[in-house]
Order: sequence, then C-alpha cells, then structure tokens
Amino acid sequence: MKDETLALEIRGLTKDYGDFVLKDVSFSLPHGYIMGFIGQNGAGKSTTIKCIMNLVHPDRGSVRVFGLDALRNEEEAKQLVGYVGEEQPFYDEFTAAQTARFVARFYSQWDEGLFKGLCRKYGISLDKKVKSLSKGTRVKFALSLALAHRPKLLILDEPMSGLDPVARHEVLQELLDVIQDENRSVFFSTHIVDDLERVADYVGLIHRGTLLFSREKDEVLSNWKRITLPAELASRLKPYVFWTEGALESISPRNTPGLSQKGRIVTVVDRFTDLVRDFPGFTALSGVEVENLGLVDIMLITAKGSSTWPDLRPPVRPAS
Amino acid sequence: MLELIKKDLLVNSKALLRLAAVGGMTVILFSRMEQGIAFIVVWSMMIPYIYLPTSCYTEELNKGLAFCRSLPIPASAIVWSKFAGAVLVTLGSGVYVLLLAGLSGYLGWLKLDPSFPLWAAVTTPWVAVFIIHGLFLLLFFSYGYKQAQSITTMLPLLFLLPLTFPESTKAKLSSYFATLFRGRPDLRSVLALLLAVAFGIDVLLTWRASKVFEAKDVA
Repeated sequence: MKDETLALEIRGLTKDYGDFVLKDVSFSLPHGYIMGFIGQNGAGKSTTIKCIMNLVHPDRGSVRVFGLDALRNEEEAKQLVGYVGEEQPFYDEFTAAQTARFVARFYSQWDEGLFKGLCRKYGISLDKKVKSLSKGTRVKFALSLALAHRPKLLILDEPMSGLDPVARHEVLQELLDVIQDENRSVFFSTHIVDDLERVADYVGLIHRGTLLFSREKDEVLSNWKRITLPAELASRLKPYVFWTEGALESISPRNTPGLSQKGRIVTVVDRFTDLVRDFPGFTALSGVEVENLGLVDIMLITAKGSSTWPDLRPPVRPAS
Repeated sequence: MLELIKKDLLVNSKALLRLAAVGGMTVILFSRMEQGIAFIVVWSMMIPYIYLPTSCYTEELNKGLAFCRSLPIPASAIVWSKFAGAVLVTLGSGVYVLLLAGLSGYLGWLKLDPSFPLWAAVTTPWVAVFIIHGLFLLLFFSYGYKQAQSITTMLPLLFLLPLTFPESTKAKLSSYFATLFRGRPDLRSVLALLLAVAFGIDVLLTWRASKVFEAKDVA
C-alpha cells in the first residue's frame, strides 16, 4: 500500500564548483515509488545524490527525507536511507564479514538474517577480503549492506558504471528485483535508461546542472514526441517545441506527394498533450507525422539539442 | 566512536605489529650500548609518530572517509576517533617500551642514568608527538594526506634550527630557559606542564580539524 508521504523532497539545491553549477534543483518523490534520474556524464546526477547524502555540502537548498531535514538531522535521515554509490569504497584489508560488522553497528534496524540471506543469494563469501571480490560482487555486496537495515529509501548512484556487460547484466537483474519492492522508495541514477524505463514510476532529467523535468514517466512519454511536419505549420508548434533538428531540409515533391516545393521540418515537442488539446485534429493534418520517443531518445535530444527556436523559413531554392 | 577506533586499529594492525616488532628488536638489541636509553626515547616517539599518518593514508587509499560519511556517522566522530586512536597508541607504545626496557634492565643490558629516569625517557617525546598529531590531523582533514605528510615530516627539522643560531643568541636562549625552569621543583612537574600544554594544543588542533571536516565535501 503506497502512502502520500514524500520519501524525498529537494528544494532549490544549488552547488557551485566554478566550472560546473548545479542550479536550483527541486523535485520530490512520493513514498513507494521509483524515480529514475537520468542525464549524460557530468550533468549533475552524482552531485545531486552526493548533496542528498551530505557527502557534498550544497551552497543553498534543502533536502528532506521522510520529512526530516537531511542536512541538519543527518544521522537520523541516514538511518532511513540505503546508499550504493558509483564506487564502492571499502577497507580492502577487511573481510566482507568484518565490513558488515563495522557497518551494522551504526544502524539501529540492522537485520543480520536478511544480510546473510542476501549474501547467500548473491554468492558472496563473507570470509573473503573485500579486495579479492570481483567488481560485480562488490556492487552486490554494497547492495546487501545497503538493504540489510531495511531502508525506506534506497539511493543508487550509477552502481553499474565500470562493470563489464556480463557483470552489469547480473547486477541489473538483482537490482530490478530489489527496486520493485513496493514498500520501498527508490531514487536511481543510471545511464542504462532502457531498463529504467521498465521499472521507473517517475523520471527526472538533468542537463548541465539544470533539472529539465521531473515527472511521472507515463506523462513524460506521452508528452515528448518527434513530429515531422510541413514547414508552414511549424510556427503553430512554437509554444510546445523543445527542440528542432538542424536546418530545414528540402524535400523532393516526388518523394512526398502533396508537399510541392515546401520544406519539411523535424521537431521535438515536450507538451504534446497540450498541443493536441489546443489544436484538435492537428495530428490528422496532411504531412504531419508523430513518433513516440523513449527515454533514451529524450536523453539524447537534450544532450545535443537546444531550446532556441530555429529559423523556420522555407529554404531558398537555387535558381534552376 | 569506539567502533571507529576499533576499525582503525584493525585495518592498520599489520603496520602496527611491524612497527612494534622492529621497535622491540631495536630497543632490546641496542640497549646494551652506552646511550641505550636513546632508543627508548626514539621508539616511544616513533610508534605513535608513524601510526597516525599510516592510519590516515589507509583511509585515503580506501576512500574510507567517503565510506564512513555515507553511513550515519557524524563527521566530527571520524576526526575524534583518529585523535583517540592516536592517543591510545601513544599510551600503548609507552607501556610497551617500558616493558621492553624492564626486560632489558632485568637482563642487565640497559644502564639507566639516574638524572633521566625511564618514565621521563618514555614520556618526553610525547610532547612532540601530541603537537605533531594535532597538526597532522588538521592538515589531513583540510588538505589530504600528501600535504599533511610533507609538512609534518619536515616539522621535526625545526627543532634543529637553534643549532644555526649565532653563539650569542644560543647563550641568551640557554640563560632564558634556565631562568624559566629554575623556579620549578623538579623534572616531573616541568614535564607534566609541557605534556599538558602539548596535549592541549593537540586537542585544539583536532577540534579545528573536526570543524573543517564537518564543512568539507568528501566526494
């Protein structure tokens, strides 16, 4: 049963590194849901997560975990959170069992039975030194540690980066099992957007330190569309367009009957439901093609795109 | 806090045992020399002097600070656990060196100077150890291991600086310290005063280190 409590509430999170600025990031995640946090390398995903974990101190903004101010009540908030980072920094000289004993002391809800069960499931030998664990096993071990105190919120910061494809597949299967537990909220940053698309309820997309959106996944997928249309219709789309592909392309009347000498334009809208509401029948217009976008496409478009409105004039055709 | 100290001692146990073994052998073997007590002074200092940087190096190597900060552990507890661990090792190494000296005395190898008792030989170097530890912690938690190590390694060289002073200045300094200590009843109270001051400086610098670390980004 999901409740309406906010597992995570971020308001105005800002961190200035000089050459990179995390700008005024705000979003929230209701309890019991999964939020995928996507964006290209260096977009600010890890910085946001490190701010949430107070590993990096934000210049401004607030982080609340189940209503607790996570920056002021750090220890209490961390009791509610299981965290797996992109690196798994453990003491190499410790065995897995010693590491677990050390970690267990700091959690009031540590469940030794659950921890050992997870280790058995993941094939982790507790008497092995951490340094002798393979990268994939290290991630699974980190996940076991993060889950063993039964956290209400699980935060995963690209835990699979640096794994080979086999290890990545194995870890991903385990992760997908774990994050679909409905009693847990999950905030999950990753590059592997395809898999995220299967499980996420919410999606946040960050680009160059700015959160472009944070919405329900279905809402995102129903609003982001690639539309190809005759250039003379394009101006009607202006308020809904996120990005337009390069310069106008001229087309041959032979290939697209009915468009005569006019140009066609490929554009991406991020408010498709508004567009359809405001212009009923728009999609039925001649020459208008609407294509669904996946999260990967959206991420790629935001990575290379710009939100500036391009020149929509038809191309000047050379004199024959 | 106790868990953090235990973790530090366990993670660095091999290095600590190696230090204890080398120190032990040196103290025993060289105690037969005329100035054998000098090795007691040196190893009472060397074990804690080497332990803290080693412990901090292990922390940096394993990215232990980020690991600990991702757990519900206050930043200040991490700093104070280093301080407490270092004090524990300092006291432990003192007891260890005293035991070795006792053994050496029992064997008839170590000849003691009545004007410089064994307890003074063990505790005098702690004046430098406490100050260096405090400074090391402040530098480590502010700038990292490399800076802390390079600065504190050079620090003991400062004690050689007076050797370069002109003879007249040396004489003035000697006379000043002679006057300073003339009123003191004995070596015990002078040493106690110096240790208290050094320990105070250690606490103060560690407190500053904890404040710096609380505000520092660890990842």
